[in-house]
Amino acid sequence: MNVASRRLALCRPLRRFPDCPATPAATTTTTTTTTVRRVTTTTQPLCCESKVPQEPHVVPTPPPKAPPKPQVDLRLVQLLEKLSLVDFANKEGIERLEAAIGMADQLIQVDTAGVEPLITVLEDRSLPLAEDEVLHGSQKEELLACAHTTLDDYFVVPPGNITYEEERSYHASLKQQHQEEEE
Amino acid sequence: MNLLGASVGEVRAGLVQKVVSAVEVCEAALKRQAVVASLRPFITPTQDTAREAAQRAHCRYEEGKLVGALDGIPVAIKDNFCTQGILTTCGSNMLRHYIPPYSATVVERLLGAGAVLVGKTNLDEFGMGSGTIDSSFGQSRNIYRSGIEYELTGTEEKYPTSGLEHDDWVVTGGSSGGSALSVATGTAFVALGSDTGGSVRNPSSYCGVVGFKPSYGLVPRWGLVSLVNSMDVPGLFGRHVDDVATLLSVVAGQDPMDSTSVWSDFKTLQLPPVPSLEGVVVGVPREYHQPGTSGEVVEAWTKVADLMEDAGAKVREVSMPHTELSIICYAILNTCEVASNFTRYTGVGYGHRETVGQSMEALYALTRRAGLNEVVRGRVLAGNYFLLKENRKKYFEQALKVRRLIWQDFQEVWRSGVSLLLTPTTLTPAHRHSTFSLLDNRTQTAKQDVCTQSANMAGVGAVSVPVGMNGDGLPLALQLMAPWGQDAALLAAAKWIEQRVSFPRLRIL
Repeated sequence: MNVASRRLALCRPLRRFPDCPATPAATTTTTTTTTVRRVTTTTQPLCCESKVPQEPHVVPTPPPKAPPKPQVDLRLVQLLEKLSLVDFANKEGIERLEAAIGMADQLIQVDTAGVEPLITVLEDRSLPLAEDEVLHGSQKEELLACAHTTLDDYFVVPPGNITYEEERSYHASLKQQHQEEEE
Repeated sequence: MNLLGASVGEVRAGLVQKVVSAVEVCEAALKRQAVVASLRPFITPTQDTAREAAQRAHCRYEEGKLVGALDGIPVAIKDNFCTQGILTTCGSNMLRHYIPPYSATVVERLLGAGAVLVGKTNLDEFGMGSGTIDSSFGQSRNIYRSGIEYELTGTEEKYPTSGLEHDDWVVTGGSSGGSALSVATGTAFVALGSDTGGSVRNPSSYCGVVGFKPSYGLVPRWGLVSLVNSMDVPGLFGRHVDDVATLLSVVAGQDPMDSTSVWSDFKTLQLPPVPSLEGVVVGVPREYHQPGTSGEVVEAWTKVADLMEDAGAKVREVSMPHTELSIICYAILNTCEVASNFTRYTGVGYGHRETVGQSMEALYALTRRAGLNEVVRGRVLAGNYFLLKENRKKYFEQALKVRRLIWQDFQEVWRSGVSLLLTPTTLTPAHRHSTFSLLDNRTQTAKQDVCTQSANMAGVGAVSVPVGMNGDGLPLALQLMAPWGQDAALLAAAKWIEQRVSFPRLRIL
C-alpha cells in the first residue's frame, strides 16, 4: 500500500479536544498490589493536545551546492589499494566509494567553528590503566593453532617489499586516460 | 505453563520449586530450534554443549547450590562474541573456521551465572548491515508471516499470521537479526547482540522483542569483535523488560581487560514491580519524525506519549537539530574505524588464508578479497579515503566535531529538565524481503538507522519496546533514551510501557 495514503488515513492526531472528559476506553485488570489500566487499540481520545509531531520534520532550507565530484584518478586508486589491500580498487569498488564520498560531502558544509572533536563519550573521566604485570600467558600452542601456516614456532609470511599490482583493464584504462590528458 | 513463552523469573521459580527441570527446559528449547531452523536464527547451534550445561544446572538445582540469576536458562549469543572452543565466524568467510582460544568477558559472566548456551546466532557480516541478509552463512527470516504456524495471544484483535504470497518473507532487521529471532521464536529466553548504529534495537523492533543498548562503557567489550570501538556496545534481547534487566545485572560491570569499561552497580538490579512515571519529564524530539515514517508508527508514538502524559508524566516536544547529520557522520566515523580495525585480517595469525606465494601484499589483498564481502571491503576503502592525509581534516576531524554537536543536542535536552526521550525505533515495521533487497546495503542502512544511530554517537542508553501490531500482523515498536548511566530508570520506564500496551504474545504451534 502507498505509504503516503496510509499515513493520511491513520496519521490524524488522536487528541485535538482540549475540553474532552478524561475517560479513556479501557479494560481494567487487578494485579495483587495495584490496578494497571490496559488500553486497547480502539481507545477514545485522551485529554490534551498530543506532543508528538504529526507531520514529518523537513529541513527548511535546500542544501547548499555540493562540492565537485572528487577526481578518482590512477594515483588515488593505486594509493587506496595499497593502503586497504582489499583488492577492491576496481570499477565497482570505486563506484561504491564515489557514492560514499557523495554522502560524506554533505557534512563539509556544517559549521563547526570552535567545536572540539569528540573522540570518546567517556572523555569526562580517567579510565583505569592496568598494572604492568603478566596476568595471562603461556598460550603459545593455542595461539599458533589458530594460524593456517606456521613453521616451528613462527607465523609464516611471504616477502614483504614487493608492491601488489594487478594489470586489470580498469587500471589500464585509467592509465590510458592519464596519458591522454598529458598529451 | 507455556514453557518457552514464560519469563526468566517464571522459569526460575519453576526450576527452584522443581516443577520443571533444567534438562526439560533445555530440551524444549532445542526442539524448538528444529521447528524454526528454516528461519536460520543460528549459524552454529550448540546442542551438545547445551545439554551438558543443562545437566550441570540440574544437579545444582537438586543440591540447592545455584550460581546465578540465569542458572539453567537457555541463552543465545551473536556470532561476533568470542566463545572459547566454539566456532566464532562473525558471519564471514574470513573466520569460517575460527575457534577462539578465549571467551568474551560477557560470555564468561553469562556462563558463570549458569546460563545454557544454545547457539551462536546469525548476523550481517561483521555487523555491517540492517537486515541480516548479508551474512556469508545465509539469510535469516522473520518469524512473523513466515509460514510457520503461530498464534497471537493476549489480544482480542485479529491479525494475519499466514505466510506471504510468492514465497516472499519478512526481514528480521539487523545486524543482530539472529539473536532477535532466537528470542522471538522461543529458542532462547534472552540473547546477546551488539549495537553500533542500532543493530540490536532495529531487529528487536522488527521481531517484536525488547532490544536494549546499554550506556557505552557499562558492559565490557573484551571478546566482542571490534567494529567501531568508540560506539560498539554489547546489547541485550528478551521478551520481557524484566528479563533484559536480569541479563544486564549479569553482564554489566568494569572489566580489567577493557579499558573503556566503567564501574557500575547493576549486580542487584531489580526493576520495581509496578514502575511509576512520577517526576518523569518525557521529551519528544520533532526531528525523529522523519519523512517516510509510516502512519501506524506515528499513531503508536502518539498513543504512548499521550498515555504517559495521562499518567502524570510531563511530556513536551523538544528539538535535537543535528539529528539528521548523525547518519552521515556515522558513515564517516564507522568506515574510518573499520579501515583501522580490519587491518588485523591478514590470514597470518588466524582466519582464512589464500595460498599465494609471491608477496606479503598479494597474500593480504587476495586473502581479504576472498574472506571479506563487498560491504566490508567497501567500508575499508571508504575509510582509507577519508583518512588520507589530504582528506583527514575535511572528513574525519569534521565528523568528530559533528559528533560533538550531536552529543550536545542530548546534553541540551537533559539540561532543560527532560529525563527520557520517546521516539520511534524504526520508521516502519519490518520490510518484506522483496522490497528490502531493492536497495543496496549502504543505502538501506542509512535509511533504517536514522532513529537509532544518534544514541550510539552520544553513548546514551536506549531501549526498544514492542507496543503493538499493524494491519499486516507485524510488530510496531518505540524507543526510549535516557542520560548516560541512567539505565535503571530507562528500563523501568520501558517496563511501564510494556505493562500498558498489551503487546500480543507470539506462540508457535
